[in-house]
Amino acid sequence: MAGAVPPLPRFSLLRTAAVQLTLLYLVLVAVTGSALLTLVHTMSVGLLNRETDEGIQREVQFLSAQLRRSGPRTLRHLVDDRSYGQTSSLYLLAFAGQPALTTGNLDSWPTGDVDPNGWVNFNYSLPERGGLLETRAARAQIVRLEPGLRILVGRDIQGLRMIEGRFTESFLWAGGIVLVLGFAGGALIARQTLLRVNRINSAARNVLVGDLTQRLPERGSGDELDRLAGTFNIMMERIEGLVKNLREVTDNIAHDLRTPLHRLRSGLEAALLDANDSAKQQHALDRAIAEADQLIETFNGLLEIAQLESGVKPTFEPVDLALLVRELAEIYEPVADDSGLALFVHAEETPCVCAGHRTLLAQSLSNLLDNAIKYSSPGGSIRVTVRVTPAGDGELILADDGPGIPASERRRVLDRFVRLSTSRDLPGSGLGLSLVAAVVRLHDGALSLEDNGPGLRIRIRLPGARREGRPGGPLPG
Amino acid sequence: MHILIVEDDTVAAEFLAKGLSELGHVVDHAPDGLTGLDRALVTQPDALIVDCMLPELDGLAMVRQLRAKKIDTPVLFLSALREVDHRVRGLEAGGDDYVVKPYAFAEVRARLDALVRRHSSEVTASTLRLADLELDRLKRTVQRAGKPIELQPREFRMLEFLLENAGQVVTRTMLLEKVWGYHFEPRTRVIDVHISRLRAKIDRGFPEPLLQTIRGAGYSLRTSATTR
Repeated sequence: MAGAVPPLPRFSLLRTAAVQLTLLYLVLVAVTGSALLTLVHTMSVGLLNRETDEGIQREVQFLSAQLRRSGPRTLRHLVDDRSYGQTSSLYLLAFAGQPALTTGNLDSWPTGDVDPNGWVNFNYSLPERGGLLETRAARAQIVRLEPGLRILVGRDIQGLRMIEGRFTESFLWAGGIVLVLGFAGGALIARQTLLRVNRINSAARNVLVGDLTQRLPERGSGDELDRLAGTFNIMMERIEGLVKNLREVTDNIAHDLRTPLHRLRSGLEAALLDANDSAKQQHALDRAIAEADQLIETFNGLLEIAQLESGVKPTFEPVDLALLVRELAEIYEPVADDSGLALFVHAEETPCVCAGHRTLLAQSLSNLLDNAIKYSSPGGSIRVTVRVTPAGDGELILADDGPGIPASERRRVLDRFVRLSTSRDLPGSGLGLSLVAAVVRLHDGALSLEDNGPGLRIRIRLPGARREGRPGGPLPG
Repeated sequence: MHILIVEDDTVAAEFLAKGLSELGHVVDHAPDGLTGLDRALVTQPDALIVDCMLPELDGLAMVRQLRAKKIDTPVLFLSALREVDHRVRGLEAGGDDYVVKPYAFAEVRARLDALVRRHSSEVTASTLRLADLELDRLKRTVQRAGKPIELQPREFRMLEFLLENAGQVVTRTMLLEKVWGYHFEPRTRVIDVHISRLRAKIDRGFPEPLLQTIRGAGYSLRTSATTR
């Protein structure tokens, strides 16, 4: 049945949508994370660094002012005082050529690069309580206050360095965690999604090779894949139904058309034999035409139903069901009358308008009336009711008091060609009701056969009816 | 009458041509849309029978081109497509009527006659007459041999349509279309019942029956003098 199924392209994890999305997500997280951390860094550590430099500069300005006001001797005392017991501020004051006057809490001038403004970063040693030396980081400015007088003012920045270190450390940790979790999560999601997609894919491929019973599990989560699975299942239901229908129709065609074709052929053959009896021949030809007409009717019915079920919707227009029923009843009333039947219409005067195909609806109603007249015995009655249900559907009920249809057969009669054994001898193609069913389906309506006790009651509901000419919606203005 | 059949199925075309020539028409045949358009322009037939699906240029397009050239020759479309909206498309393309394949020859003939008559005599006389039967469209009255006849509105419309096509055959589907406005073939002979009621009203008690059943075709309102 199916042609060769083309092979799937080679599987590559990197090409799956899930992995690609995960990677993209990771890159985005990395970029925003870095930007955020850089901002925090500038605002915290950067601020502290600036404050250190400003403190040093203020101190240098203060000492320089003291020198100008009170002279080197007072400055030396001042530095001496300030150095004593200090741990966070560092001082070193030197007088050229007089090493004995050197004072401050720093042992020696820092080695290292001094920038043109006198700023220098260096390490110094601080004796710990245990007698060991602790190396600490410091930053200082070295300024020549006047010829032969050099001063260093600095701050211990070991604490700041530690904060910076912590910062870098947490930056790396956070980045690492994001990457690892992102990768793991992404891989997990990708795997989950891939598994589900693959399941759908393999189910679809099984269908391609002819297994129409394939269905997918639905988790009820309502996500995209679940909805896809739902749609797939509905689609398969439809396809399976159509194929099954097609098979039945083929069988039925073979059965129901072969018989009249055979009759047609043998009738014509007999006419050839009766070549010298023109009256007989005429009769045989008439029979043949009637036979052919019956065949054509059957074919047309089949084609029409096939077309209705092909899924292509014809143009719908507003159709007034009440008017349609009244018009068809007018056409059928004399026919019913001739068969000794009474035809009653219960349709409101107000229109009951549905979007639909007028001709198809009229044809359906005509088929139903045909059947009702055909199967009812003289003295009976046929009632057609049109109304708008409280739910807003258009409802058409056709009830007769004929033989009805046994409950067990009601589903079956909607299939093509099914005619109950009791009606085999009545003319008809057996397609009437299935055409009605197809038309109702085309209108997204519902058709049900019920017991009228006695007789048959056919109920058709078409969605979206409205009564016209009645106040309902908001008034304009 | 000169009739051009544009149909690619030569067997079907021959069958139509044979039937129409026997009725005394001159029949021409074109196997495709381009030839059909050409012949229609050159030979100027009185009516066209055009298949919808044709090679080269399909029937709908061909008629659209004819209409664009302001040629209003009546066109009867034939179509194997029973698509529900196809009739509408055929009429939109400029066709005047539409017959679905497989058709009875009588159906084609009756519709063609009605088309040509409507086309040639766009008369809307207020009174239609056949023998002693008279229908007044304005007063909406019918009388026969001076005796008034009471008709239901649909019966009046039915008689009006039959009188418009007096002497010619009118099929059941044509009646359903023109009188009730429905385009489908009723399964039982609903139209027959209406005809017999109308017949009872206009023919009963008169020596000459006017409303006749034409076996295998339909009905005709005619006097014995107008019978072909």
